[in-house]
Amino acid sequence: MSAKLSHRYRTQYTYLMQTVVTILIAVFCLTPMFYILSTSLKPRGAEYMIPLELWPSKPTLQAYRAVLGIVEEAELASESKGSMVLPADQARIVKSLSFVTPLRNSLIVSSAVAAFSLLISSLSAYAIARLRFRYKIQSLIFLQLGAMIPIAVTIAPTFMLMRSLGLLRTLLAMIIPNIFYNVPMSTWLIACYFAELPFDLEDAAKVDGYKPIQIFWKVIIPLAAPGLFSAGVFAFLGSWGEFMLASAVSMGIPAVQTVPAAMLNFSVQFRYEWTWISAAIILSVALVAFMTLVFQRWVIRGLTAGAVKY
Amino acid sequence: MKIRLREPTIAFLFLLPAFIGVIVFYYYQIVQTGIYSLHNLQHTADWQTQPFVWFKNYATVFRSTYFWQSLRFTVYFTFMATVLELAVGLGMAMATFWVSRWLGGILRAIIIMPWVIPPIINAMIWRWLFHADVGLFGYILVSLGLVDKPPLFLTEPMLAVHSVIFADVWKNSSIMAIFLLGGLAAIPADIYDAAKVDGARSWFRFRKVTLPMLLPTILVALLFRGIDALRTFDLIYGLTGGGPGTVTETLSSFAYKYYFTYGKFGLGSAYAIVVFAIIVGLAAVYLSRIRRNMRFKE
Amino acid sequence: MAGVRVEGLLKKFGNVTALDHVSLEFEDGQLTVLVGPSGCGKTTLLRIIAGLEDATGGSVFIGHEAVNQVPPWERNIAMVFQSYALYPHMTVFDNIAFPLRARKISKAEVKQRVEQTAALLGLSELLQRKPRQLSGGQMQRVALGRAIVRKPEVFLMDEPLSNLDAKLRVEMRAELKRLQKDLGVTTIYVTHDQAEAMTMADKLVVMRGGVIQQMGEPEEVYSHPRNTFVGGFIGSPAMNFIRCSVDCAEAELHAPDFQCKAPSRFVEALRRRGKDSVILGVRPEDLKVLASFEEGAVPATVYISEPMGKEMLLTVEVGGALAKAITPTNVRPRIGETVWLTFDEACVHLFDSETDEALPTE
Ligand SMILES: Nc1ncnc2c1ncn2[C@@H]1O[C@H](COP(=O)(O)OP(=O)(O)OP(=O)(O)O)[C@@H](O)[C@H]1O
Ligand SMILES: [Mg+2]
Repeated sequence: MSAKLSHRYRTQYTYLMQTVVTILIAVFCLTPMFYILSTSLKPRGAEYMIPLELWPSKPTLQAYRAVLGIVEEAELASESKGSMVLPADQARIVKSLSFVTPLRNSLIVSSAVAAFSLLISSLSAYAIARLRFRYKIQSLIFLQLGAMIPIAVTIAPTFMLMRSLGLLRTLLAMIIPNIFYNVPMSTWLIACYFAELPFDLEDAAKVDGYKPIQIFWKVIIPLAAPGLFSAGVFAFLGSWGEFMLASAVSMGIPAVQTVPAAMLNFSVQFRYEWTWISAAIILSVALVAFMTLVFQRWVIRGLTAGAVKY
Repeated sequence: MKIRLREPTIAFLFLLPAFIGVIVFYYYQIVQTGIYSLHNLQHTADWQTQPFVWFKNYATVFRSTYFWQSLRFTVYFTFMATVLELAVGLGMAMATFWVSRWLGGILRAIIIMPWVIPPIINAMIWRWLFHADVGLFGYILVSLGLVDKPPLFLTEPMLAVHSVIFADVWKNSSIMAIFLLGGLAAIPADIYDAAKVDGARSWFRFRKVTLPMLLPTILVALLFRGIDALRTFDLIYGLTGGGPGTVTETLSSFAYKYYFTYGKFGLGSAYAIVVFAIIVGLAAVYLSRIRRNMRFKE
Repeated sequence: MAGVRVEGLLKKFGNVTALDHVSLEFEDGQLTVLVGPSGCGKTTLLRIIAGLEDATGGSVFIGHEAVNQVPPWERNIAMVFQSYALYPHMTVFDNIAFPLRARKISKAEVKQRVEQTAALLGLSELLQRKPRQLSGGQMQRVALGRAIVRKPEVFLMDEPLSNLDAKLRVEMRAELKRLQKDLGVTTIYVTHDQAEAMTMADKLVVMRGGVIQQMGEPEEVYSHPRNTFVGGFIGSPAMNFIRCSVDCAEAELHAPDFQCKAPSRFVEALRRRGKDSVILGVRPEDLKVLASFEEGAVPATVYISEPMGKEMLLTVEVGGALAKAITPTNVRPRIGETVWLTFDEACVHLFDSETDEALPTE
C-alpha cells in the first residue's frame, strides 16, 4: 500500500520536475525573442520608458507600419517634435528603407540557393554514397575542406570576380556563390541519408526495368526526403542569414539588399528607433521560424541522420 | 551502338557541378587571396598593376599588437563558446530525451528556434537586450538588487568579451543540442535497459553508458562548432563592431575591416590567410574523425 | 520463355574468387536450385545472371542471346531478394505495378494485371498498405507478386524464404513450387537450406567455394553424391563418415572398432585402386539400431538420444567417433547403454580418402 503511494508520489514528482525543466529551457531559448516582439509592439519612444514593460500596456502595430513603409508624414510629425530632420524627409527615408524589398530579395535569393544547391548536392551525394569509384574519400574531403574556408578569406576575390562578371548590385552575385557555400554541407547531409537506404532497392528497381537516372528520381529521392529537406532548410537559412557577401556585393543599394544587409543599414539609419528595429527583426525571422517550426520533425530527423554518422 | 556509362564515369559526372563550384568559389579564391596578400593592394584595383611586396604584409600583421590581441580573443572566444555550448546543448538534449513524449516534442520545437535566427540579427537582438540604459538584462539585475546601476555590457572590455560569448552560446547551443539528440537517439534502448537491469542508477548510467557512447558525436560536434566559431564575423560586426577599442575584434572581422573600411586588400588578405591556416589545422582533425566513421560504400 | 546458360564464369572481388569458372545450363521451364554453404558464391552467380554485377570472365546467355553487354533493365528477368527490397514509400499496389510502369503499359492493363496477381497471391485486401504495415510472409508475397506480374523470361530468387519462420517456410515452399509449375517460367532458386533444395528442385546444383560440386536431379544427388562434401551437405541429419583401412584380399573394411565386408559393387574399384584406406559413408536413416547382437552388427555406446515425435535421433559413439542414426521411437536406449548397429550394404557410400571423390561402382 505504502509502496504504491510512494510510487504515485514519485511519478508526480518526476512529472513536476519535467515540467520545470521544460519551462526553464523555454525561458532560456525564448526570452530574447519574446522581448524583441514586445518591444516591436510598443509605441514609438515607449521602449525607453522606465520601468520597463515586459509586455506593452497598449500594443500597437505602428512600428510594423513604419518598417513596411506605410507611414504618414503627419504621424511622424506628431511624434518627432524637435527633431532636426523634417517629417517629410524622414518619411521619405523611411519609405526608401522599407523592409518589403529586402524580404522579397531574400525570398528570391534563398529559394534559388536552396533549390540549386539541393539539385547539385543530391547528385554529388548520390555519387559519394552509392556509386563505386576510386578516390571517394578524397573527393568527400575535398568538398568538406572547401566548406571550412571562412568567407572572410574568399570575400575579396569573390567580390572582384563578381565585379569582373558585371554582377555587382544584382541578386545573382549573392545567389551563385551562396549555392556553393551550401553544397558541401548539403552533400554531407544527403549522402548520410542515401547511405542508409538498402542497396537491394536499387538492384530491385534495375531488374524491374528502370535505368539508373530513373531510379534516382523514383526511388532514391523520395526515400531520402527528410535528408533533402533538412539540407534544403539548411541552405535556405544559411543564405537567408548570409551577411558578409550580401553586404559587400549589394554596395548599399536598397533595391538589391537582402534582409541581413538591409537590417544593418536600417539599424544604422535609425539607431535609436528600437521599436522599428525590433519590428524589422521580427519580420526577418518570422518566415524562417515559421517554416522551420512546420517542418521541424523532418529537419531534425535529417540533421540527426547526418550527426549520428559522424 | 549504345554507350553504356560505367559507374566511375557516372560518379564523375555527378560530382562535376559540385566540384566546379567549390573550386571556383573556394579553392581558386584562396589562391587569389594568397596572391593579394603578397601585394600592396589598395582598394579594388587589379593586383597585376600593384607592387609586389613579398611577405611585407605578413610582417606587418605579425608585428602588429592588434593581430596578437585579436588572435588571443578569437581563440578565447572559440574555446569558451564551444565548451559552454557543449554543456548547455548536452543539458538541453538530455532534458529533451528525459521528459515525457509530448513535452519532448515541445522542447524540440523550442530548442530549434535560436538556431533559425541569422547571426547578424542575433547581434541586433543582443544589442538591445544588453542596452546600457534600458537593456532587459541590466534591468533585471538592477531590479533583483544585484547591482546598483545596469552594467555596461558592451562597453566595459571584460564584460563585452563575455557578452559576445553569451550571445553566441545562446544561439548555437541549439544546433549542438540537435546534434547530440541525434547521438542519443542512436544509442540502442536495449543498452539502457541492460544497464538498468544490471543495477546502474541514473547518474552512473549517464557516466558509464551514455557519455562514452555519445563521445564520438560530442567530439565531432565540438570540432564542427569550433571551426565555425573560429571564423565568427557577423556577430562581432553587428554587436560590438569589434569594440570597445579592438577588444572583441576577431581575425575575420579584422580582415573585413581592412578590406572594406580601410581598403587595404593586401593586408586584409594576409589576415584571412592566417585564419585559413588555423582552420586547416582543426579541419584536418575533424575530417579524420569523419573519415574513421564513414560508412559509405567503397 | 528461355533457358539460361553460363559459360566459364569467373568472378573476383579483389583477391577473393567468388566464382571459379562456373559453367551451367538452366533448362527452359525448370526450377533449378542452387545450394551451398554461406559464402560459396550463390548470390554472386545470381547477380551476374541478372546483370547487377559484371563477371571478371566468361559469358551469360539468356535464350540464345549473349547478354554480357545488356544492362539489367533490358534483360527480361525478375528477381526476388532475400530482403524483399520492397519500396517503402509505395503502397503494395504501386510496388507490384512498378515493373509494369517501366514498360509503358496502359493504366487499365496495369490495374487489371496487378489485381489479378494480388488475387493469385491472396494480397487483394492489402493493396493500399505500405510495406511497413505488412508481416514478413505478406512482404514476401508482395516481392513475389512484383516478380511474376510482368511475365518475365527468367525468375531469380535469392533465399526468398529465409526470413520467414519455420512453419511458414514449409508452407510457402510448396506454394512457390506450385506457382512455378503453373507459370512454367525458368527459375533459378538460391538457398542454403538443403531441405528446401531437395523438396523444390527439378535440378539441384551444389556449390562450394565458387566451384560447382554436382548437378543433377535431387534423388540422384541424394543417392549418388559425387564427393564427401555433397554427401554431407545433402540430407539431414548429415551422412556419417568413418575412415577405414582396406583389406583387398578379403574384401573387408577395417575400422578401429569393427570390420565389415566391402559391398560387392565396389570390390573391383577397391582392388584396382590399390590404396589402403577409404572413407565409408552411411546416412543416419540407413543405420539400423538393434538392442542385441546380430551377425555383422557393430557395437556402439549411446551418447545422447533426441526424440523428434515420429522418430528418434540417436547419437552414438562408434570407433572413437560420433555417428547419428534415426530409429523408430519404440527403441529407447539410455545414455551409456550399448547398442548394435547394422546397415544394408546397398546403402553404403565409399569415398577416396585423399580426393574425397566417390569410388566408381560397376
Ligand atoms: N561486393 C563484394 N565485395 C567483396 N567481396 C564480396 C562481395 N560480394 C561477395 N563477396 C564475396 O564473395 C563470396 C561469395 O559471396 P556470395 O554473396 O555470393 O555468397 P552466398 O553464397 O550468397 O552466401 P550466403 O548464403 O551467405 O548468402 C564471399 O566470400 C563474399 O565475401
Ligand atoms: Mg547470398
